[in-house]
Amino acid sequence: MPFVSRLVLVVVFSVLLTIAAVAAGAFLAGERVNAEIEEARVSRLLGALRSTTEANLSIGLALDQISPLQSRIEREKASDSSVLAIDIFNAAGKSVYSTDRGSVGESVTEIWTEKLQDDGIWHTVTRGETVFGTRFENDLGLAGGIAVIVSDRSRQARGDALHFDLLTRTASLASGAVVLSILSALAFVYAVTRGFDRAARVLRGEAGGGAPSQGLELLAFEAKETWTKSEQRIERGLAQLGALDDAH
Amino acid sequence: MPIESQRMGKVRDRLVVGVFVFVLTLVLGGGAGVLMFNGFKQKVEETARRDANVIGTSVARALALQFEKAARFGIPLKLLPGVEAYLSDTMAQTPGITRIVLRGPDGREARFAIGPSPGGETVSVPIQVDTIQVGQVDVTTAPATLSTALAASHIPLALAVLACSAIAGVAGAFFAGSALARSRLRLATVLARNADGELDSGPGGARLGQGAIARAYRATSTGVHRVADKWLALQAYAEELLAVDFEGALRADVERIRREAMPRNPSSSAKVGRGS
Repeated sequence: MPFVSRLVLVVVFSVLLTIAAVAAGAFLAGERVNAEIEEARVSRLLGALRSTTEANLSIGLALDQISPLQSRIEREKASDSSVLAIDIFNAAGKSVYSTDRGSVGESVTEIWTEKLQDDGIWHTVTRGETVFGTRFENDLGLAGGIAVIVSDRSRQARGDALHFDLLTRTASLASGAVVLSILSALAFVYAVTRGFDRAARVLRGEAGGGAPSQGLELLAFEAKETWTKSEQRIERGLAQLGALDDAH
Repeated sequence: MPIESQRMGKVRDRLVVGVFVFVLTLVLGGGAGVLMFNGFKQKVEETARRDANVIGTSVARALALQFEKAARFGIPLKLLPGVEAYLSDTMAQTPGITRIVLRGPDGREARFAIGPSPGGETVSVPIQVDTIQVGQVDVTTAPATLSTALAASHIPLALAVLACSAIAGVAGAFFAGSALARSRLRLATVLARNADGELDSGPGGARLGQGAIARAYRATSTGVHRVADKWLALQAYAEELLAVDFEGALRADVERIRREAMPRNPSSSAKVGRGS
């Protein structure tokens, strides 16, 4: 493969690889931002419910005695269309309040109770839904947890919009960069192979001036000189053979 | 060409090509990457701004509802205990907001909580009791706090661009730079042989494609073939004369003329191909 083809190949591939690396980094960062935005939307609700629950527990009420929590979670669900369900469950994993009243008294998913060991907000992703949760405490420690089930539709829509934007930006910038890289590579090839071009001109007898001092030009000049001398000798030989031929 | 000089030339060609590919990848790949990342960041921040507004509005509404309850009991907002701590807790629990201000009916700040992040847009929700405004909750959003993952990506991405450029430079030096060095060395060898009187046309120019390198090889090949053709013509003429020299009177003169005219060692080293 000639030098110019190799150089263009390397340059185009390298530029595309670099842009792809940046795009991949941006994609991952965008995914994290998307998740953080979703968590931010729910964290206020979780914080408010946790504060209310802990405030009631601190005055000595049992979890199943805080009946206003039921109307509160129903109100919160009604005010946010992306919230599919809200569950408040005790440390044993039994649902005490739920926007799905039929599930009150039933055991919640095992993973929710496992997540209660961690303080702060946790989340799990299931089919088309994300569950955000946190725990609440009484004077004795862990008292239960709150889980808010959110539809992934808004997250997916936001993610799709961001991915499409990233894809179009990457495609347009990559095509521009490829064109520029090819032009730059060709300009570089022109500059770096000028010695070959000068040698070719010397060999064709198109170069003016005296003998070059170094490099391919000098070698070309010497080769050209040798050819000229050879041709002169051959011309002389042909003339001598002609004279011999005429004499006999 | 001396061995040391050949080695230096090879290293120089590789180095020049490697540095060029490194710089070009850094400038074009990195430049395009920066443009793309900044544009994407703006888009993400725009999305975050919309979401921060939704969060801010939700927080402001929830707070306004709570203060409405107090107002219904006739407690002035300024006299409510623990409001600042509550506002601070709310702000700490809610990413995307940086300032919550509770204003009295005269519009003056009654209570507030201020976070460390610079503010963006402010969402205001009135506190009303029987359609009479008794106060207002202002929530200032901080969309930048929702897109911190992007800001944190700057250094890793810069390192990735540098790493890609370095890999590209090495690949350019060995994959393309070596080809240039090989072409230069091969042409120098061919020209040196021809300068010494041998007839070596080198590799066919057609294999080298277009460009200065191929032109140099073609010019070499053309020159070699021109001398070789003339030499063949002289040989043919000499053979023709010898063919009719039945007495052998011309042989000595013809051989002498042939020896004097021929290029040096044409039989042992001539490499006259028709590849070009």
